[in-house]
Amino acid sequence: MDNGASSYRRYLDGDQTAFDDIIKELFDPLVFFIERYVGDHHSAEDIAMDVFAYLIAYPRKYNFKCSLKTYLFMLGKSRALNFLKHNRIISQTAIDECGEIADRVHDVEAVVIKRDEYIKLNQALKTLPSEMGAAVHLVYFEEMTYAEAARVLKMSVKQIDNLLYGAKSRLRDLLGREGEVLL
Amino acid sequence: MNNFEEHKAEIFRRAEKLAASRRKSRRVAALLVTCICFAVCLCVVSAFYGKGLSIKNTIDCKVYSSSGMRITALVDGDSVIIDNSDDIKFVANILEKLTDGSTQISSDTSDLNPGDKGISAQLPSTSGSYGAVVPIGGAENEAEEDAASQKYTIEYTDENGEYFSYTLEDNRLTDNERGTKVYLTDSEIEELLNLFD
Repeated sequence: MDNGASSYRRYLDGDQTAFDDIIKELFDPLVFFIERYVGDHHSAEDIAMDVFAYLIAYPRKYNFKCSLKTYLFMLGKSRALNFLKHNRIISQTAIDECGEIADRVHDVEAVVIKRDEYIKLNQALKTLPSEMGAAVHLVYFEEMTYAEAARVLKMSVKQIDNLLYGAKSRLRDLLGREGEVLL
Repeated sequence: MNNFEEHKAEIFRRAEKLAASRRKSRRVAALLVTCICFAVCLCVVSAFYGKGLSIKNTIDCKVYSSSGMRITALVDGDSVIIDNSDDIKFVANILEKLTDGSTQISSDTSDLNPGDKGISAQLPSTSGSYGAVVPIGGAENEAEEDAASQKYTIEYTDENGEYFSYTLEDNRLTDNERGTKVYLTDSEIEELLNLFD
């Protein structure tokens, strides 16, 4: 499992179908991760598409020193923060689209949250500070290593460790003993 | 599946747009770099050319600067020394009309040997030296002198020791060696004669 790097290498070698595999594998997790920052599914999708477009337009920017997933999440986080900086968070969802969007959000969450008990955890994560929630998201939902999560969040491994420790304490308060067990 | 196709199409459309803007920015950057290079080259060339111009100007200054030069006119045995730089410049300008700029008078007095360079005007009796303005065919009395045309010979030795001889008659200045002639204006004649009087 190289988290898309081999697919991307195939795409660069001229195999157009390889990029489909990348989109299938990484688009939804990226949207879910970005949504944690921006709080809006439409914007998260928009940012995720920008990230993938950037990957196509600037192929040499990715140097294969980290996994493609880590690289995309780094871009996603950066763009999400940029989005928050420059845009007021206004829900761009039309009323008649709400049902459809809710289904899609549910689909995206279902792709990422493989364990049922994580659904409860995901709800609790929304109450945590964004960096803390992102750290938990990357390590437990995306199954990244501490080093990969640190790279995405531009922190040290120790900081990630501290964030997770803090998250456990808070979740214990929110979910009781169950919350700590989940992590 | 429909979502996937939509997303994929949108991603590639955006990528195309990004690539186009990237190409455009690259073209602009290339143009900018070219302009900067051109400007730098222009500066370098103009610096060299300007230096050349300044040297040329220096030479021009040498031509027209006449400190240390003098004109000696001997009329009726009286010597008139003209060491006014403006007057010397004036004579040099007139002579240059005949020599096409080849007449050069150095302003560098350090390499001047006494009497070696300069424009001097003398009567024929003393024309053994470097420059002379010789009235030829002068009249016996003042009235005749006014009526008759005065003829002067201007002998000029430049800093390289080259000898030039000119004849001034009426308003005509003639290079005796080349035979070229130039007609001077009344004001120039008047000023010249005033210098030699």
